[in-house]
Amino acid sequence: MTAPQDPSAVGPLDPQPHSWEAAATMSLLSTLNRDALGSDYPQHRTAAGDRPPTSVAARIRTGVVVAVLGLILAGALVHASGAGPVRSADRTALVERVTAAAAATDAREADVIRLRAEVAAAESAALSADGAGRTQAERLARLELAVGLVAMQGPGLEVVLADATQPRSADDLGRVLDRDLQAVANGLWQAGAAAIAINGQRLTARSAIRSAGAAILVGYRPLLPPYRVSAIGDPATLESRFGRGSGGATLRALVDAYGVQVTISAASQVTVPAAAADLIRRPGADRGD
Amino acid sequence: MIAVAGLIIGIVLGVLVQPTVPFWLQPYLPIAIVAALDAVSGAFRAMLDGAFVDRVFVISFVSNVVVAAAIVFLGDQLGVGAQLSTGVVVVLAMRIFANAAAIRRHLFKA
Repeated sequence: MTAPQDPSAVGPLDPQPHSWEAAATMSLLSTLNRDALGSDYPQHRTAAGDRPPTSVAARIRTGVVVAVLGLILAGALVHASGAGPVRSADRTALVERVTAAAAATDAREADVIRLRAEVAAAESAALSADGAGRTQAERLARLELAVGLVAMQGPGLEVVLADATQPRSADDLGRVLDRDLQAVANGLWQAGAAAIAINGQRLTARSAIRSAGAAILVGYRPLLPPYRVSAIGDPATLESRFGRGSGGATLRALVDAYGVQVTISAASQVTVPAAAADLIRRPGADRGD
Repeated sequence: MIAVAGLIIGIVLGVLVQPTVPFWLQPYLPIAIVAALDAVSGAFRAMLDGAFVDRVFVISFVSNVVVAAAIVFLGDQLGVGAQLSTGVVVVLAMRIFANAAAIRRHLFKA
């Protein structure tokens, strides 16, 4: 700080002329400090004896206002801690809606399967009349098996994949991925499987095996591990051809590299259900697809 | 005495009843609480100053809460709700600090 040029004009407490800019830029803060931050109450201090005694009504009024504050505080705390009734009610309502929607879907699915059986019965009744019809009926039955319209039962192979019990590292959790199931399914088709289902979801020409987040979807249905891939076909042939093919190679690589648990077993009785309704395309049924 | 009893009664009521905050009011509740805390800290300071007036307390409490919520509401309508809430909170927090400093000087002479 340089010495003022005219000491007589400026007292020690007077603002400097050159502090004009500072005063202008600081005016917001000083106003804030003086007005906004000041007390709401009149500042002339009175001795306790001079003030009129506060009436009971005034004290009660104050008490009521403070009670309102306590009420708001407690309410906000309860609300913020998530113990509030609103949030749990929301969750319960959502869970109920999900359950109801799932139940409705299951009911419709059952309807579809029942109606399909009726259609099949009517078809066979109509076609069994003459020789040409019977040929058609045989062809129809073959095609229905191929597209997954009817459930199948018979000897086959079961491949069970499960996530590794002990992840090898934080990055490598040893989880079964959608592409692993794709490789197994393709390997089983290559080996000559007649029908395949994964955790009871029949694979058709329109089934996609893909992941959504951490879950694997087959035909848009989320699956839970372990993943049981059931294939119908001659067990010995299926097993040897699958083991020699790309599916078997993929599985061995998974076991060696990631610790994924794989069990392959031949079964004398494998059940593969009919496909879900939306996975079978009927001619002209879904033009807007 | 009545004020302390009122506070306790209010908190107990709030915990027991668990009032559901209406959805449209939820954004304004935190701001209203900060404004109420400002009014209460100001009242405590005034009490220590010997300047407490119950009429001023009641009016400042209600008006603080209403004005703070109204500013945030206006900001929401104008699309600057977050910024205005920040401004309101900053000012109220500064006032609470100033009041707390005055209270501290009174109580601890420091």
